[in-house]
Amino acid sequence: MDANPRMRRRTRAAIALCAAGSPSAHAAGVLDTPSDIAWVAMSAALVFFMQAGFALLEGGMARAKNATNVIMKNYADMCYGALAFWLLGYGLMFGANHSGWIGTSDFAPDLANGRSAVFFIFQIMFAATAATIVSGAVAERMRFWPYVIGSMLVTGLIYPVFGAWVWGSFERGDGWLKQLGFIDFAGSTVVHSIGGWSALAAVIVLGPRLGRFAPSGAARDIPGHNLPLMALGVFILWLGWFGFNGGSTLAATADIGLIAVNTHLAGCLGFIGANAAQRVLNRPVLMTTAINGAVAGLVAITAGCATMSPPFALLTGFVAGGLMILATDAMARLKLDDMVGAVPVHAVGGVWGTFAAGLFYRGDLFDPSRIIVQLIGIGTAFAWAFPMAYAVFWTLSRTIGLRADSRHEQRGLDISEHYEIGYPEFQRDLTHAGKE
Amino acid sequence: MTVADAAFERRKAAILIGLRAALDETAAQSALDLWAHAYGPTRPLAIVDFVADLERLQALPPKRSGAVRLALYQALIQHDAPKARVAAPSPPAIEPAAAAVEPPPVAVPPAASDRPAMAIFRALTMSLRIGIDASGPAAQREFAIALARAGTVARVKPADLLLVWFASQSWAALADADDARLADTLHAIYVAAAETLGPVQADRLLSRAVSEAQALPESRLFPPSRLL
Repeated sequence: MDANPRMRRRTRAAIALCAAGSPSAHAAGVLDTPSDIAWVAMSAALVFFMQAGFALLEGGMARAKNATNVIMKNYADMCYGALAFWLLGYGLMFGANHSGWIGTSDFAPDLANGRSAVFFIFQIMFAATAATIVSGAVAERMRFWPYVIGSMLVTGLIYPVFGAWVWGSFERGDGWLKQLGFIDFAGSTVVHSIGGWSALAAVIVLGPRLGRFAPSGAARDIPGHNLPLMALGVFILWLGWFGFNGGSTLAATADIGLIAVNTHLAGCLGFIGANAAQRVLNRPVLMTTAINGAVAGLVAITAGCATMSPPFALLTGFVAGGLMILATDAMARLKLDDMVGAVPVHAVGGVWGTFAAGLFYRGDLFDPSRIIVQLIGIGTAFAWAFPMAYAVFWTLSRTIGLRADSRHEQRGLDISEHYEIGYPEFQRDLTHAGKE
Repeated sequence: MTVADAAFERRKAAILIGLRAALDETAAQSALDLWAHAYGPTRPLAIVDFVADLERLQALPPKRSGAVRLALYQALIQHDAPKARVAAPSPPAIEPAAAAVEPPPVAVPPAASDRPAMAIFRALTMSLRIGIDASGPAAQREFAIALARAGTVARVKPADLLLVWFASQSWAALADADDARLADTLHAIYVAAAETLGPVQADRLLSRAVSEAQALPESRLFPPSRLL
């Protein structure tokens, strides 16, 4: 029982924030005490650590000859993405938003006070997460520098514009989707679907890896080089998710407990849902698929983790795990080569989670008007992110070139793009002695 | 003896050398009879089909068949080439199946074939060929089609690729090739292998080919990695 009046005040504020479906600091009662600041700063660190999770997950799923390249792209998302978000993205997303469409202030912000600074550092980690979803999908055949440009455009433009509609702004004005009542507490759509749709566009423009599909059209497995690394990556992601969702309260409130519980349960049921789908489809229970199911569960609960009761969080996670498998099959049938399953996990998981947040809204289950708003938000995310990302990657492909040369695919992108290899003891004989 | 008879006898002797390298004397003679009657007059270089028949008739395990194929290719390269350059090769038909049946016999000047780069290239190619042949006739057909396409990817004329691949003694197409062109050709073979067998299997074959090539004395002068 919460007998502390101050805590009650902030809890009410956080619940109001959840009802608004936004982690922005616009509502009163957030980021205004030292404990709020400490909690959000710690959450930012946890979200930062998710980059390590993505790096291990994607690096482990890649072949040894591409592991370094994949991890370099994760770093690039964080570093170049941070620059793009600071220069442009933050202003577009959280600047004064009187029209409801776009922020028009706070570009390259000075961040003179601690409140805005901690808000900024938390948001910059989110932006990097959206961008890094793409790196896993396009792994093993996309050149590094074009990827960097694409990543900067995702973090500096595609992600923040949609973010402005849902979470904008920091102080003045609300995005149009936020005004409609769209619920996406921590970013199933804003972060994950936007990243997932961008990944889909990149995958279509790039084409599949050499030999990924047999002449008959059947998809061939290209196993990752280090599955334990991949599993560790998902554990780290899962840990970071407590900060991703929990920190989105922007206040040290008791609501964090429910958010953490829902996050964890959905992740667990995502794993179980994937297992169940594998059994129903009479397939082996693969670890690689099962832990992707867990990530899909985590993605799905991100929208409704603050507004859903635990039984519905369980259901949301379970369905996400199964949907991820069906979406992976659909991708293979369409001959779309997504190395880590970014589209099934993040785009499809995000769509389902955002829909579920409307369906299972606590105290107002299955409200048709809320469900319609959720569908509008889901459709808008696709309509914005996919064509924009397609245009970006298509233009890069036609100008500076996006796809690595097939010789570089043979050698591996570690040596061809970075002139170093991840496992020199084992790979030296199979790679060229130097660059061309 | 006509020129054709001389060529037949030379090729038959090369086949026997190859068979003896991989089989005991009785089995080698029996296999030579099969080649002389069923293949020699019409399809002397259809090694894949010949070894497939041999595998069935002599109940050879697949690994042994691979060794027989390799020995035959090596024997043909070493002992079936005339000492002087013959007419320049006419480009083979792009239709891979036709190329597989009967490639034009063309020789390479010994000086060119003796280059360390060429020796390493030949060893890598032969090893890849054994791996692809072991995948069965369907894979071989798919590979031929993929190889014709891969020439574009690797900036190698498809005709040259098919010539090198299907007429293993016909290195003349690459007689004047520099190291970069050899590397392009090998890469085209890798691309076709990846399309046919999958990238994982292609990597394994290439890895094995490199290991085998590294065992050659020429690898000290020309490491296989220079062609990768």
